[in-house]
Amino acid sequence: MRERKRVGITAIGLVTPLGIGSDVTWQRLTEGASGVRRITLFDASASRVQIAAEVAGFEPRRFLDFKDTQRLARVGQLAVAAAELALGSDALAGLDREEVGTIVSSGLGGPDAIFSGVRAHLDGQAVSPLFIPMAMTNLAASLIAHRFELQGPSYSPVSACASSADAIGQGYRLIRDGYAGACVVGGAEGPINPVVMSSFASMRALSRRNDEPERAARPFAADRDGFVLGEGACVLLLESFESALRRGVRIRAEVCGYGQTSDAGHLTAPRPEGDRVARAMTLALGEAEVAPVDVDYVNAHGTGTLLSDPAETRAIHLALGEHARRVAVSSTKSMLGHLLGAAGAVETAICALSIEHGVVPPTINLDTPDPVCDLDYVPNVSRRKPVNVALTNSQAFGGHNVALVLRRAPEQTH
Amino acid sequence: MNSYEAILRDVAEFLATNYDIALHSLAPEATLEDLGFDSLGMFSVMTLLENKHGLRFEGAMLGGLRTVGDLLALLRAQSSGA
Repeated sequence: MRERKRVGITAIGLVTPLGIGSDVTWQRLTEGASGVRRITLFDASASRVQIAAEVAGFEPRRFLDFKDTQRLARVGQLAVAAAELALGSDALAGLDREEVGTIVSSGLGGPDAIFSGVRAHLDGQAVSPLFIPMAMTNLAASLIAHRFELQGPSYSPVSACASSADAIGQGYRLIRDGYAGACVVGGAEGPINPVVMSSFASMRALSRRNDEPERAARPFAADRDGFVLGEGACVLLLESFESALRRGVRIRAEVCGYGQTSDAGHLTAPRPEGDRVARAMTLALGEAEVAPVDVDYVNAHGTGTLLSDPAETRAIHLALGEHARRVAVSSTKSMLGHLLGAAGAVETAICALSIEHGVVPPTINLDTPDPVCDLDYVPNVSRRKPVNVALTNSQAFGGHNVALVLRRAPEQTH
Repeated sequence: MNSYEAILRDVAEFLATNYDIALHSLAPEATLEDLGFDSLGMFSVMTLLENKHGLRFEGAMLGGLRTVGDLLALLRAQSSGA
């Protein structure tokens, strides 16, 4: 067996409903700001759900040439923007690009491309050749690999709302086990489309608090009524500690544990007992060799649906035992909405920033918690506290459960 | 209406909308590759012309296209005036 390497995050690119860039996103997260607004990307005036977390002020031309602004599905545009923010300023200098992998996911691919293609077909037209490449869920990985000439392993694990948590876990293992020197990992999602929203609305998964957009995403609150759909992307650079040391780049946080389980149950509803989510958390902590009592922050999946929040609360109790009552838990989806396949990567970045800054972002809109949600959810106001170990949960339609553990990296010697 | 002029108008509009390129400004010897006009771009404009003008482009017709002049010659050959 090859020697296992330790793996660090050395670059972060975020494009979120709270801003374009990791600094602005972090700043607004710690202020408890909401990125939820009335929808502008399509006319939602007749829709049951008229709110979403859009990336306001996104100008594709800043990141893409004219041709790509016209032909790339929204998910691809957001992915390239996040990759440029992470890697654009020579962040790959000194890496052998033959050895750099690209593991970037999307849960849905390009629903806007599917929408246009189906419409053309129903109109009796031949469908655009761009339909397939724009619809495919591996578009983001392909675009990023091409743009930065990354020639190592490249694919896109798809596990709905756990997709980019899996992308990070897969990239981490490729480096840890010596199959890649570094990996560009992450996720992107561009789901704010009338067809996608109508289906989620029919599932009763989305909040209908149309008149109070900023108060609509309210995970763990007694009066929550579903999640708010969001768009955005997160791209991270992972590399071995040796590689970071050789290049003289700072390790923002170590990725040290990855656990996966399946509910093996309902297609969309979470398993109420939370035991299989708990097992993913326990597996990740075990791989990291971190005791439950040493976890300082849990970034919860915390969607704000009726079923998911109590199930995840039970899972945290099961995995952390007595420590569950003391650990800081927050759902940043209360501010960012739910970025589906991009959520796990965004929330991993938030854990890294939390470790770096010693601040836990809050769960906003949490005035009256659901009595069965009985943890410390850091309500409404961010909290300054040292964070040495953070765990982020992702649970997905399809029953996919993923947990990732991050910890503070030892000080670099450069 | 499959006149060469009508086809050219649609190609010009496609290039302006999707590539920010003015067809009338292109020299016949300009290469499609230099314009950023890759195979997906070519297939897109062919699909547009098939939908709008009922033309049929076989894959073999597209293989030798290298320059703007090659493209215009193919379109002229396919138009009803040819």
